[in-house]
Amino acid sequence: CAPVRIKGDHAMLGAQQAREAKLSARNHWTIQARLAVTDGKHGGSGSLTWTQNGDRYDFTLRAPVTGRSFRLRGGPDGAELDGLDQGTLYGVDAEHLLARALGWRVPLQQLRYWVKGLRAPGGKAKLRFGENHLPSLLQQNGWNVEYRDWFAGSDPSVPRKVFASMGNYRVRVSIQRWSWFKR
Amino acid sequence: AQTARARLDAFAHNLHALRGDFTQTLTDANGRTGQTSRGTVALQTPRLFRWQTKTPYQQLIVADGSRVWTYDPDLEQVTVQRQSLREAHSPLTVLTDPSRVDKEFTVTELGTRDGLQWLQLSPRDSAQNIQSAQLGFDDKGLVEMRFTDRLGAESVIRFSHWQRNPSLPSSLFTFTPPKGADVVGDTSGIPEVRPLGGS
Repeated sequence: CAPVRIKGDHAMLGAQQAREAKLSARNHWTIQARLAVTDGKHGGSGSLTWTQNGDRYDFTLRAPVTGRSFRLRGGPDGAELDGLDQGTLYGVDAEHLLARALGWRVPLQQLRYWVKGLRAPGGKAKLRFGENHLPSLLQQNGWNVEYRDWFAGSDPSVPRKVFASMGNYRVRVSIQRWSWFKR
Repeated sequence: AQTARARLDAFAHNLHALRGDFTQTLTDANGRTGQTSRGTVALQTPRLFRWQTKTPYQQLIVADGSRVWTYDPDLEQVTVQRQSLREAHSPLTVLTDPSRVDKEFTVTELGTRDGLQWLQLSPRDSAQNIQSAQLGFDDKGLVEMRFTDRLGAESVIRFSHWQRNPSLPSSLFTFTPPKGADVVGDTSGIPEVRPLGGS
């Protein structure tokens, strides 16, 4: 069935703003998820553990069967990518580092907000809502972010399936568990 | 006690098909145990392979002899690679093709640990990004397979309920992408597959 894309009415937008206020204050979390990335020709998938600690992040992907790990860590001061055959790689910007090392286009800075169902700061964002009155589509900076499923029961609700795409680039996250913690 | 190699050879003797259950536990570089997943594995001579994770997420890997298909239903994505390129799980296929062991791997006895006899299989052709694997045997056969990567992260796979030479339907080792799933990777020469984005 085609996804529902309602233009938000006053109540839906108000609820979204309330959710955004609550969730943007929570900057210490971990998701256990499945991640698939592709550029249309090549692609891969694996188990993702993403921990956000304020502005610092640890993004570890495990390959199927062998469990081989690829780990991207860093913060505003720069990023480090471990696990590749060529050893540890450093970069000022995590997104460029991923693109350079693996050819992946992953909008990490914005995904940090999108994965919570929030509009990322900077850049106009267009929202459409589903029958559950939660976002079903968010368009920002050229990316289409589809919210295919939600943990609607949690307070506040958080996304369960986030499919972001820009042209042939796709980043898909299917979340098994959200964990929130203090500093 | 029999050497691990002797136990591998005994287990692989006259083995042309195999089916069993697995539990996989991933630990990270500082030893923290992460996720445990469960599923089933099936093998058939010479290099047919099926690895199906069932909980806490679903993933299906099928090696049909020429290609390896990886299907993630939650992510609605299928990746397909030529089987020769993607032999990351090849240590398992030596069980139904033992002649390949010495050709493709350096084999080292690691002795006894946790009540099992251990064997290390290190790929001779290190260009293929296959990792070395450790195989643990009891007197009845293969019990555990471990991978340790360059970061010290581990994947520990325990097998159970092995069925030797069951009759396996050939459908187990073929894969057709479901409608609507994006197919990514080496789809050349697969007539019926609609590459990603094709209308």
